[in-house]
Amino acid sequence: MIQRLRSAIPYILLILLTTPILVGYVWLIISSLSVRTYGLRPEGLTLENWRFLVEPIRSRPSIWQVLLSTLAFAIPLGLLDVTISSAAGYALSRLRFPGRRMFLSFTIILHAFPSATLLIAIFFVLRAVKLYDSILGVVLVSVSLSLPLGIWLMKGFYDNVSWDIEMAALIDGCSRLRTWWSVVLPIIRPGLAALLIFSFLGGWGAYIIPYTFLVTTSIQPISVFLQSLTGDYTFVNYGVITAVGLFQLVPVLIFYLFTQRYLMNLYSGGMKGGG
Amino acid sequence: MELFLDNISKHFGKVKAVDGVSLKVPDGEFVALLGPSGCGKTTTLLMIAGIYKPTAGYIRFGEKVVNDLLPKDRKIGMVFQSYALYPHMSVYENIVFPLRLQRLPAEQVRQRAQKMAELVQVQALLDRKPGQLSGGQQQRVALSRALVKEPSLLLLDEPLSNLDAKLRIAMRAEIKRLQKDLGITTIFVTHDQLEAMTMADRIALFKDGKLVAYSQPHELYDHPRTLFAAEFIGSPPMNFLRIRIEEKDGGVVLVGEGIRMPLAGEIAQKVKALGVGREVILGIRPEDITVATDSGDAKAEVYVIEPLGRDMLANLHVQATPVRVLAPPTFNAPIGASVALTLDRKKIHLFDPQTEQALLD
Repeated sequence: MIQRLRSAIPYILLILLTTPILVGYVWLIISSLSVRTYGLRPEGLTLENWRFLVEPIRSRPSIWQVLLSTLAFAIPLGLLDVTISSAAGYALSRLRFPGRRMFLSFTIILHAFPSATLLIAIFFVLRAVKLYDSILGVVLVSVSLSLPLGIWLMKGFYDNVSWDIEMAALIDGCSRLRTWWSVVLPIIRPGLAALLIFSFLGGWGAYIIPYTFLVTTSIQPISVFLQSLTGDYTFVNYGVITAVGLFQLVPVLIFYLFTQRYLMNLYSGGMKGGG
Repeated sequence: MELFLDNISKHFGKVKAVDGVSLKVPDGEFVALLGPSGCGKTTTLLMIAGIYKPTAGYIRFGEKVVNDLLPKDRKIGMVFQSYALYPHMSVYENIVFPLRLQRLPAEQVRQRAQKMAELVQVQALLDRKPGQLSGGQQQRVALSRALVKEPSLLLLDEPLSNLDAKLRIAMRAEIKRLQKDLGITTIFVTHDQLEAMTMADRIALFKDGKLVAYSQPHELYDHPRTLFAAEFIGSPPMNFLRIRIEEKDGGVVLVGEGIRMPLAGEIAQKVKALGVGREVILGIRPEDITVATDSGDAKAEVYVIEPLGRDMLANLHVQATPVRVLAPPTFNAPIGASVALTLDRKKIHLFDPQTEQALLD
C-alpha cells in the first residue's frame, strides 16, 4: 500500500505542475472559438475569430504576409547559425591556435549575457550600417546572440568524434577540408539537425529583437503582429488574439509531437552507434 | 618498399615521446614495434604515417625523404585499434572510399573492392553499416579498406587488442598469412609480446621513447641483450635471482639466497672470466628449470600451482624471490611443500645489476 502511494507521488507532482499549463492551453482553444469566455466557459461559439485567415485585420498586413516575414526571418537565422557554428565548433574542437582557450571562455560568457541590455547599443550599430528596420539586420543580430550556444553545442558534438576517424580519412586521401565535409559532418548530422531546429524555432517565436528593430509592419514576424493586436486602441478581442496565438503555436506543437523522441535522444548526450 | 628511420625524435613540449630512433625495415618484412604503454611506439607509427611530423631526424621510403609528405600522398594503408570505420557509410562504401578519392573509374573501383572483400571474407556484409558488424568483422573491413589502394606500406596500430582471445589467435594467423601472400612491408604496433613473437619477422623493442633492441624473435628470446628485453619477452616471463660468482675447488659456483649452483666446463670458464666475487643477476626461463624432490641447485617452497592443461605452471618461492617453473602436467605438490630446482646450464643468462646489460654472449 505504501509502495503504491510512493510510486504515485511523481505522478501527483507532475499533474499538479502541468495542470495550470494544460488549463492555459485549453483556454486558448476555447477562447479562439468563442465570442467571450467566463473562465473556461465559452459564451457564443463562433468562427469569426479565425476570419484573419482570409481577410486582413484592419490596417494590418494579411496573416500570410506575416507568415512569410516570419519564415524570412527564422529560416536564414537557422541556416546561418548552423553554418557558422559548425565551422567555428570544428576549429575550436580540432585546431590549435593562439587565443583558443580565451575564445572558449568568452563564448560561455557571451551566452550568459542578457541581450536586453544591448538593445540601445544595437540600435546605434544597426542605424550606422543602415540595417535598421530590415530583415537582414534582425537576422544578423539574432544570429550573433544565438551563436555562443550553437558553437558550444557543435564543439561538444565534434569532441565526441574520435580522432582515429579523421586520421583514417587523412590516410585514405582526404585533405583536412574534405575530411570535415565528407566524413565528420555526416557523422554529426543529428547535431546539425538539432541546432537547425532549435535555431529555427527560436526565430519562429522571436519577439524582443524584431519588436525593437522592425518598424515597417509588412516585415514584422508573427510575435510582433500578435503584440500589435493587444495594443489596439479599441478594447482587446481575446478571441482573435488567442486564434492568432494558436496559429503561431500549432505548427511548433505538431512538429515537437513528431520529433520528440529523436530530439530528446540528441539533447541528452550526442550520438551513438557505428564505429 | 624499404623503410628507414634516421634518428627520429618527437617532442611534445618538454616530453620526449620518441628519442633518437633509427631502424631499417627491408622490403616485404613484417616488423613489430613492441613495448609497454607510453613507450613511443604508436607515436613512431604515426610519424611513419605522416600524421605527426618528426621534431628531428628523417623518415625515408626507399631513397625519398618523406618528412613533409602528406599522409594521403604516402601510399600507405592503416588499421587503427578502434578500426575507425566511417559509421555513416556502408561496408562497401568504406572500402571504396580511398579509391573514390583517387577518382578511379567506376568499374575498376567495383572490381578492386570485390577482390578485397573476398580476400578478407566480408563479401556477404557489403550492404551493412559498421554498427551492425561484430568486432572481428569490423577489423576485417578495416583491413580491406587499408589494402584496397594497394599501398607500399601497411601500418597496424594494435588491431587485435579489442578482439576476444580466441578470435585474436585466429586473426593473428590470418594477418600473418595475408602479409606473406601480398608481400607488403608491414609495421605492427603492439604491447603484447606474444603477438610480436608469433607474427613479426623482426621485433623493435621500445622503452621510454628509445629503441632498445631490434632483432628477430628467436634472437630476442634466446639472447636478450638487456634485462628489460629479457623480462619483457616470453610468457611466463623470465625468472631473476640475485647471485654472487664464487670460486670453489678450482670450479665456479653461483651462490645466492637458497641457491647453490655449481658450473663446469665451458660455461664455468665464461662466468669465471666475469670476475669472482661479482654480484650479478641470474635469469632463467620457466621452461628451463626442472623440478625434483631430492636435490638440485635451489630449494623452493610451493606457493601455488596453476594447471595449464599442457603444462603445470608452478609458482614457487626461493627464499623471498618468486620463481615460476613450467613443469610437466603430472607434477603435483601441495602448497608449502619443499621442492628442488635444477637449472639448465645452457640456458642461463647473467646481467649486470647496474648497467642491466647481458654479460654472456
